[in-house]
Amino acid sequence: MSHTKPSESGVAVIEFSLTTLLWVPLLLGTLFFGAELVRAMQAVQVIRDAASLYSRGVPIWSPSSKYLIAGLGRELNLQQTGGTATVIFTTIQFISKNECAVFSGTSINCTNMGFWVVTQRSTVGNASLYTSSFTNDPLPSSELSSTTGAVNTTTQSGVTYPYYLTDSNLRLTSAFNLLTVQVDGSGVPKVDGNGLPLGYGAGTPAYLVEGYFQSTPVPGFRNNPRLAAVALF
Amino acid sequence: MSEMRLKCPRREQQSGVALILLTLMLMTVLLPMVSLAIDLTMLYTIKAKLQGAVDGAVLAAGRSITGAVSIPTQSTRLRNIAQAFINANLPQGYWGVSSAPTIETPDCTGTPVYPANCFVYQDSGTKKIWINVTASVNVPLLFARTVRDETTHQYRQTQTLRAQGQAMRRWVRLVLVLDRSGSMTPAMTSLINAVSNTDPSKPPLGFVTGFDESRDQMGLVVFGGSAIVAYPPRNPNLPNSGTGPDNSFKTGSPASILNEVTTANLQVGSNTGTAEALALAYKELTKNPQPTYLNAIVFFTDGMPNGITASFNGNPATPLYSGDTGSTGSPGVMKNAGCTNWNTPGNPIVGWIAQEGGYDNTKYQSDGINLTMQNSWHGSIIASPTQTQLYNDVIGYLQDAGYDQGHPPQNNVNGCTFANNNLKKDLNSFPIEDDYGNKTTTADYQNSYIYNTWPSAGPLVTTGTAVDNAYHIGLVSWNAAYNAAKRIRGDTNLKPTFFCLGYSGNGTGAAGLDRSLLKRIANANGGYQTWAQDPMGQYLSTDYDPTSTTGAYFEASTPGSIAAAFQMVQSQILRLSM
Repeated sequence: MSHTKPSESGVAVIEFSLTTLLWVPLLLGTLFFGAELVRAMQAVQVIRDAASLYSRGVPIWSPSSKYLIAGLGRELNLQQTGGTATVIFTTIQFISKNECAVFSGTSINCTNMGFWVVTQRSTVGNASLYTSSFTNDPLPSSELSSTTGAVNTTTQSGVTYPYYLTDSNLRLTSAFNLLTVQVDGSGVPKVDGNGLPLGYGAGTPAYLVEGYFQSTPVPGFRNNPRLAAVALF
Repeated sequence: MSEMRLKCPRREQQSGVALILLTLMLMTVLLPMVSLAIDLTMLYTIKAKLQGAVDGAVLAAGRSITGAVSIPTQSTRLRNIAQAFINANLPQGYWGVSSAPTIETPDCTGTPVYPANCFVYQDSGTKKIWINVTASVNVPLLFARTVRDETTHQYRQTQTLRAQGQAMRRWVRLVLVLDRSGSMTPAMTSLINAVSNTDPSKPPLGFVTGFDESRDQMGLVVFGGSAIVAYPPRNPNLPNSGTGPDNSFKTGSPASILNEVTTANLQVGSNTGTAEALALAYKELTKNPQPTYLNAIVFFTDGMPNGITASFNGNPATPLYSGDTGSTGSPGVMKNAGCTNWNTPGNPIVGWIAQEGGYDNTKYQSDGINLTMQNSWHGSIIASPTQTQLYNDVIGYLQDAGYDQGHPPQNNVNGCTFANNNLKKDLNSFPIEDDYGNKTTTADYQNSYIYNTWPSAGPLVTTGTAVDNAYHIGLVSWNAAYNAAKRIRGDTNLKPTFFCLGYSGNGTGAAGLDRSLLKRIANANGGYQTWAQDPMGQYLSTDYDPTSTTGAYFEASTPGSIAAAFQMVQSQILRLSM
């Protein structure tokens, strides 16, 4: 003998169906958001490892290095020259009067004194997909070595100097406020009583690595989403 | 019907059970699961970010260590730099973080029990410097706030995350090679300040001061037409003796690099014997070799090579004229009846030859074979009152090119004399290698500025009338310098790295620098341009060797800019030594 009459049958199903309106989106959202978080964590890890290599002098522009970096971000579809991710390596330094002094007494006007500038740029992945958030991209390609990405020098009136001393296109944008160098009113680095620079040294390189990874789109909400991770070493 | 009535209440009672179950499930399963998925992943993400921030901090702080002052003196500055990099990498507000991470690692004084717990620590035994950073940050929780902490019996609002990083400064063992040829006269004072300024009121401090005697080692080679090891001091009666670069380069008494690189001691004169200078620097590095160090040669010059030191009757012997057989009809080395060494490799005739007056193919000027250097060109190397005899010997040592190869003083070489300022009277061909085994007659010269500036002058001629031709002497010297650097970089044990500084204040090309050569010596990453694309050698290193150590080239165009160029080199070396 059945304990459930025909009129009772399906009640649990109906209630279950009603509850699914709550917990299924919750579960799916959790899965989706969790997966995105995992990807964000992966992105952070990739950029951290890449920055560590870059700051230790690994020639990131070389094919073997690009292969290595692409391997780090394989799960994020980072490839050597294609894919859906871009990792941008930029060596930067602050130009004080000391850096300009290398060419003092010459005809150049060191217009980038007081600015952070790019001294080298390399990109791994799909370079056309994303650009740097801190520089005026695209950087003038004629001023960069086609092989290493190092900023070239130019010769004017018999004086040879790097473009980054004078070309405003090689300055970092105002979005870069991550690091400061202390200089006096004339652009000379401030020093303590021992002759050491106060804070980070002008002319000392720092290594900026930006990673942008195409993320999962949600139609209507996030049509072209991306994950971003930045490291300054 | 009655059964229906009886059943209805039960059905009503059943209604909502699923919601209740769902609520219970939310409390016991779903929310903890969401908490786990969201909060834990977020915590892991921030932890990874924090770890990256700490990694960047220790590397930046390690990069900023200077040998100019003691480690405790610069600890605060290094800590500030580390904190700045942490703030840059994990700023306040990142994923709701209320404040930037703080460095927990304390400064230590005295001899700590656990050095790894000190922010900056120098091991007294190994002399290595360690930067240790442990940083923490409080992360506000989202869903996990609903989980009660059974330890504190409170709901946890935040979670503290910690990350630890460590960097070690590698020791540096370098030889500073300074050009003190005659053309350096206008810039010598600036060079001396750039190397040895110790006055903090007149920054920047000298290149040497940036290194730490307690761990780094440094030596000094100075050169004109011939080169000498100017520091550390050694007994010149014992060729190949000495320790190589040592740890007293700043405070050694009476001899130190700071004492040697002075206006009184570093005097100008003579020519540019680049190959011997590089070879001597390398020989210094091979004494008490330290493969775990960063072995570096910092090479400063204002001109192109124009001289070599060679054994002119060595193996292979360079044909010396045996008398009036030269085209000039003038007496040669063998004209002197007392010269018994000319054809006896065991009794070498070693000296240096150089050209004068530019590299024009029409010029036939040279210094001839110089067996001696003028004392005044080198100044006092060791002035210790207790080393009088040694001092006298050093004077003798200075006078004799090639002494480091074990050749005895040979001012007179058993009666041999040479025809000064007319090399053609002494030689009928160039030696195929210098006294250090560096090839002189290879085709490498075709990458030289000289050859590419006077292409109509044609290929290198090694015999006959070319031996006193300024153009061909220049090519031979270029070959020797280039091959010396290539051989040195081929040492897979020490892996020497070159940092070249060119002073272009005297002009480039015929008047001074060959940038292309300096970039080749450094094996700089300059791309693969050709002479046709870049005839001044601005960017190129067409034969860049990715299997060899990669150095760097820097240039100063005015005397006042030499110090800044040295600072850039220092920055590069300290980066590599991490």
